[in-house]
Amino acid sequence: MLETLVVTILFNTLIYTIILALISVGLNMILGVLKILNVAHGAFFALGAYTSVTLVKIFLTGGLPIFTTYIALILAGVLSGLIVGILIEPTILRRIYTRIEVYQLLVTYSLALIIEDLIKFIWGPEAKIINEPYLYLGTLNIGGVFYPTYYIFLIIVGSIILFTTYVFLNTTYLGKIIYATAFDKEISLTMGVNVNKIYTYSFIIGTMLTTLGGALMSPTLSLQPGFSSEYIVIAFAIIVIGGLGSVKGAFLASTITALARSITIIIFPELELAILFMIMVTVLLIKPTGLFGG
Amino acid sequence: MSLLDVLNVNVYISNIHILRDISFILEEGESVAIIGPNGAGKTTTLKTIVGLLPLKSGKIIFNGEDISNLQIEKRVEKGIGYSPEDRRLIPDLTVEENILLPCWISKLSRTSIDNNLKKVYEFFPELKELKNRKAKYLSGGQQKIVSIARALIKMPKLLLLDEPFEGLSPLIAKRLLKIFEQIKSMNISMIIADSSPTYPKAIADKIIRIERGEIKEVLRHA
Amino acid sequence: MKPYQGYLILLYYIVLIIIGFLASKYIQFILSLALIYAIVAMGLVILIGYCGLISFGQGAFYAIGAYSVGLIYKYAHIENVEILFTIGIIAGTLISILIGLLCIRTRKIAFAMITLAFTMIIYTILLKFYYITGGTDGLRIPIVKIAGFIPFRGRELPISNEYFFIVAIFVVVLYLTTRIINSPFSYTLRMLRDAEVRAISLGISPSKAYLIAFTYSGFLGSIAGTLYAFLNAHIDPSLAYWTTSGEFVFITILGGISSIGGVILASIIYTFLKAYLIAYTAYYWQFAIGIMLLLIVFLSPKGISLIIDKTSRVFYKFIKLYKKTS
Repeated sequence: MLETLVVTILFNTLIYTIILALISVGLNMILGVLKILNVAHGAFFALGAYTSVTLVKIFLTGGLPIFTTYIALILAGVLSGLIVGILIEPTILRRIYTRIEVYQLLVTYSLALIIEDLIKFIWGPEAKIINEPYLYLGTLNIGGVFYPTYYIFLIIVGSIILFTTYVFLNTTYLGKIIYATAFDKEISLTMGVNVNKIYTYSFIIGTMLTTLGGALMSPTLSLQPGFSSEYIVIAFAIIVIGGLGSVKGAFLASTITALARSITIIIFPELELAILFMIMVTVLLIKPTGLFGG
Repeated sequence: MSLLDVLNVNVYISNIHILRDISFILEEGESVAIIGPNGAGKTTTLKTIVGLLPLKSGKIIFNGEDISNLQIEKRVEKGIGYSPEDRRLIPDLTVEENILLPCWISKLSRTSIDNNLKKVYEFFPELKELKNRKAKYLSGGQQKIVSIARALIKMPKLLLLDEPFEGLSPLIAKRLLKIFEQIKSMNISMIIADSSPTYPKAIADKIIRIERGEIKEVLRHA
Repeated sequence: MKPYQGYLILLYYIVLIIIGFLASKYIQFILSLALIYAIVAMGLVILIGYCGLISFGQGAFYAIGAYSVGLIYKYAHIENVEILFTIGIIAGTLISILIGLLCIRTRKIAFAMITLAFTMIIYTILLKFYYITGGTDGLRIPIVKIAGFIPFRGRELPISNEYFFIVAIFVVVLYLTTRIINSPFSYTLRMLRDAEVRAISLGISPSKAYLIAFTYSGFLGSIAGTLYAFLNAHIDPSLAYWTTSGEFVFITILGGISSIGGVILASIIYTFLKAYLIAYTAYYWQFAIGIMLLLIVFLSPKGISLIIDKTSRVFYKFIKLYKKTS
């Protein structure tokens, strides 16, 4: 019995960590490079989820075999992130870089409101579900518990995305230029870096991470308008716990939170949501800048 | 055609008039030292030339082209290298990466980048030894050298050096002077900002004395 | 407190009462809601405007005030407005002291996030312990009585009882807050905000000062919460959700952060705007507010707070002029 418990906890932790990491690493990229707290990040997550629903439906009604729906999910995540990033950064965000933080927050907050209602407008207020990718893979017996095999897909694809991002940021020239721009925008300018372009790339990457998270998550949820506000506050909590702007911190905080949540669900289910905030309070009282912040 | 024409430049920072009617000309290959006490406007002048600060009025002409309103990244592309007073290296990148970063964005060919790097390492052999060390582990003086190397890597026509001798031991400072002489012989112009003329006068063709944002006198050097 | 401010408060009271006699019940309801929000915002004027501490947790005290009323009504069957009101305020203020002791040890973003965390914890408790709190269904508070026999939600007079009561409380809170802003304490706060190190070297304890400010804002938050429970007759856990706290902060920012007149005006504008937008388009009112916000931020170079600031300044000048000529 203990094995089942341990396996359940570990598996749930893994799944939740990947999703949280996708959202929070994206948020931290935008914060670290553009220095903007993107309140609309939860709305982007929702956008990725809803877009994937539509794309999967299109594939299925188009008569394509079910395995292509997995490609549809990833495609939807990438495309929605790309489109949102290209539409928003050069037009709206670029105008607020020089404004004080309060106005930047107001702008991303308005974007969140606008996108959320746009979602309602395009997809309607009723719940949306796409079961096919979720059910098709069947279930797997792990340590005595039956898990939808879809979660393995989610874990693998999510890990690949996160790993690729890590490698990109740390080993490629563009990644290092992004880091340099985030660390010292002025000096990067004097070295010839087109900071505007870097901002756009970073915003698109950060957004794509989140929309991919939403797309991967969508088959496991019933999508309703309004769930973006839950994810944004969770994302905020994670980056605060991990340290603002720290990608490493976001990952660690995601893991801790996912682990705590998996354990709490079993022992004390009422506190499932509260545990994240209790961790946040504890971390903030001990180290206000977060685990890797400073 | 002169390399750099600074014409009646006025610069304000937070509504305070910092540079008042600054004018001077730099010919190609010529080097000039801007000398003045702290707060006189030396750093402000260099920052304005590279574009970190906007002009309220006046013009800056580089190689015949008016760059007064040009964005920083486009200005430096035309052949300006900048080494700030506070070094400002990227801490988690290695020495070599810090030096090469301006090249990653440029259109220089692989061979010319390699050649330039070789030359820079000839100038600063100690950097070759440190090339894989992360910048955050360097001493202040070492960082200063890296910052100068970084400004030099694209072999720009104009080098802007803010207090290059600051924090260096006299031995290294003297060596730096020799390196500057060699740079001069490559027809690269330098503007050196310093609070004392002791070191810069050895290589400067002109000394511009600046005080409270105004040019007090320009001394021609032998 | 300067005399013209006293007249201004009296003017607020008179104008509000006159509106009560002239306006429809619906408008009185919306205005009551606006005044309730303004009460919270006044607390935030002290906390954000004078202390520089942005709290995303006012919803906690708002909800505690409201749920004290709801729970005591449900389980102790007390219908007395006075008793419910007092208990709600005591509960909210006590908890704000407890939470404040922890929050006050942080500043800036950490402070904003820790206050947000606390309100979300309270939200979770209200949500998950549904067998006590009613969960997402919330609680109903249908009948409460003033002085034992006057129904709170009375409709006999042209001015509704609840409007009258809320206006009265609002004016008292306005008076209190104005007194605080003119007291030496507010200078202490301003010094801490602008030159903390020097203030400490003069022997001022930031924690003590901030705790008092925090408690006051919690006090106001719980007042607002109890009033909301009486007014709306229905409460649910969303009162503690971070978006509610966000609305309070939003109104305070729109109102110019440190201007009481500004936040009152902002609260009225926002509440009426929201009410009419929701009536007009139930699903897409947030879109409308989002677009309006974007337009304001982009078209007005210094933002709406300056507009509201200027408006309230004009208002004050008018009062000064009136005082001078009489």
